[in-house]
Amino acid sequence: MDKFEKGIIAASIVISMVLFFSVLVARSSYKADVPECIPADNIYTEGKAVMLDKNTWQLYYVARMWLFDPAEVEIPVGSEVDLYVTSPDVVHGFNIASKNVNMMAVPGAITKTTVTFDKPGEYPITCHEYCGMFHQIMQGKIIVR
Amino acid sequence: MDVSKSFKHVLLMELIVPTVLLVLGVYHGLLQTFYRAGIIRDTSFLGIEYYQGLTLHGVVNAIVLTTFFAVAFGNAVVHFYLKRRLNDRVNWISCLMMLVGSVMAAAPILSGDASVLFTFYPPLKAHPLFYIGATLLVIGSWLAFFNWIGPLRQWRKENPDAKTPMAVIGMFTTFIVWVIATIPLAIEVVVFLIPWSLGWIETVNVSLMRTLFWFFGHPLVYFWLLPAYVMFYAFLPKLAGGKLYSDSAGRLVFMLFIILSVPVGLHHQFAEPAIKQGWKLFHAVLTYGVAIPSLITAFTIAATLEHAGRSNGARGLFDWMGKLPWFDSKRYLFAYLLGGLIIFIFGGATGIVNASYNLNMVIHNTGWLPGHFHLTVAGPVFLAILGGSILMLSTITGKPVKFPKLSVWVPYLWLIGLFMFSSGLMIGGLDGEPRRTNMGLSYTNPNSPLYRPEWIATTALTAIGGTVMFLACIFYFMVFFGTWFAKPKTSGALEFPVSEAYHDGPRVKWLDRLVPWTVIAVVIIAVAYYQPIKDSINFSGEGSPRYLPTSPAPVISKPPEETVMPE
Amino acid sequence: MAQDNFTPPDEKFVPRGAVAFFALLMLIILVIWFAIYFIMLSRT
Repeated sequence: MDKFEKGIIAASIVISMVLFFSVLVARSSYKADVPECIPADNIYTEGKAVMLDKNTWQLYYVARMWLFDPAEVEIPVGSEVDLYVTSPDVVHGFNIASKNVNMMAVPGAITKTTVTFDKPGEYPITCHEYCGMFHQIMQGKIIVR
Repeated sequence: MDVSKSFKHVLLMELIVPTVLLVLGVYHGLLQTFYRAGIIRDTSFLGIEYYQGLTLHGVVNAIVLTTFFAVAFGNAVVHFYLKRRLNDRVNWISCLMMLVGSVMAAAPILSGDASVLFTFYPPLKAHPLFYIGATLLVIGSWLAFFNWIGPLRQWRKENPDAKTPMAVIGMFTTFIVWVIATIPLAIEVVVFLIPWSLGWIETVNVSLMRTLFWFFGHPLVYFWLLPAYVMFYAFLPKLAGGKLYSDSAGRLVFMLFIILSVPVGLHHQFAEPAIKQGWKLFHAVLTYGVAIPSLITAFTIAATLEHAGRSNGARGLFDWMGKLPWFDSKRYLFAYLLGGLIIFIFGGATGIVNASYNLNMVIHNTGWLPGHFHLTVAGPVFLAILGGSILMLSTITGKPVKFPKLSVWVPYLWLIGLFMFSSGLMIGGLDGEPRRTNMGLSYTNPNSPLYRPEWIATTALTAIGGTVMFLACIFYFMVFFGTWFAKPKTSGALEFPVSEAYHDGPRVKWLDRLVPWTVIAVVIIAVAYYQPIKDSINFSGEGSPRYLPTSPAPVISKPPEETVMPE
Repeated sequence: MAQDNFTPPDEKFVPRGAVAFFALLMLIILVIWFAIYFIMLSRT
């Protein structure tokens, strides 16, 4: 193999390693991660907001054709929130764009991620997976005060 | 090389039928940009409903067109470079299966009974004919590939020390990846979705179905891309007026695609439950691996073009880029291939972003995604299909290319439109615009409580870009159909460019034998997928019944009627 | 086919332009990648 080609292969591997290392730094130091894998033994059927203490919450969402339940939740600024989502019907998306919250609601499973809301505001939850004829109006909201 | 009448007819059907369907596919692509921008604020337009049209667009452009072209191009490449006839009967059976399958899948889409998009994720259900038709299309494509194996074996017996021609290696790589990839698809569709859509089984495990689909869905993009790579390695050096910089680099690239195209599918599932994070991370690393043959290609083709430019008198560091046949209408294929390569710089870069585990959380299922994949499947893949189709049509029929000066402009006009189109989608996506959504009914409708004025500028940019792309396609159709309807000037024969290499060498066994690499591929795939498949079953619960897009109530099959036994 | 006669190339060709192009390509990839990376970090 020509020496330039070998050099290119080496450079490509080095770049990949730089990127992978950066991914790991973000994962450990910034807690930027993909959803967790949790068992699906107790799939809940209704949405609910659970306050563990003033700044620690668990929000159990049901994404279904064509709304999020609970539709609107209010939580105090600085809260760390465990977000769970499931679906009783088809696959939906669950996206809070400004917070890296990006989950698929898959029937028969529960998706979980954790997020901290350190800035007040209104955070729309958008469904970004086609789920039938009213997909385009499927939206929820988290209000952080 | 002369082609028999029968082979000519098979090739022409495989080229022309998808191009005709493409007219409809491209039309609805344009319309989608209008719906998203709120120019159309309705559920349907001129009789086609948004999600129905979206399904049509994905299936025609990304499944039918691409599969037919890969088969036609592979048939032509094997015939031309091995100088061997292919079995006519198998060719016809393959072609007819693909045609019947396509029509069978298209019918329910057109009747509104398969508005499930081209990923057909359950538990949204399509009409059974959609799944059955898709199965026939795939099996037909397998038959075309099996038809090439005998001729290659024969050729190797007669030429034991010769390297297998690069283009043939490339097309075999394409279809080895395809056959491996379509196995999980066949399991998902034949074992589960067809019986489920017919009501013979009540539920399917959606997590498992998705994992099987994306086991297929990532190598699908290499099935699309590799024929373009064949053109980059086997045609482009000659077209540019130079030599391929390194023959062995090209061959290594194809072998790497055999082993790395498949075991990466979880990078489409980063946002899903029922798969452990560790396995998602592993697939991300493997995806970095499959980026490497593309990076090797970027360098090797650049070096090839530099060689060509220097043969034309270039002396500086970059001026060789100027000394290339960008607008030579006699070598129009150069423009199609280079247009695709320039686009692919950004398609590949954004793909590396998507594969990067946690970065995916920023962009998954937003407008960024169609922004990215139009820079790949609608970039090098689409332009190679367009250029390659004119080339084969024109040479096989002996009809000179109609409007040749217009033809050479098509890829550049397309590129300009595409960059506008994808920029709008990617910027909008970073701002939270969802994909696969009829936004004109809500997010880009000022009369809707969900109105997002901040998404108007980006969707407008995409609509303008889409319009320019559509215009490029109109010019292309003028060239393609103008050529088809013109009078033949010669009797017609298959003609492909034959390139030479700068760094060349004798046959290297380990770069020329496909079976060992295929075995390695299967081992890596088994390691990468065994546990994720188990996880997707173990971490999910009950299966799901059928749903139609129009109702939250599931479709339960009727209880079986009582049968009256004859006396 | 000229496969069996491998005459060494007449002029030595050093692909310096391609190396420069590849470096630019790496730069483009890194710029796009880190742009998204820092967007991700800002959203944690």
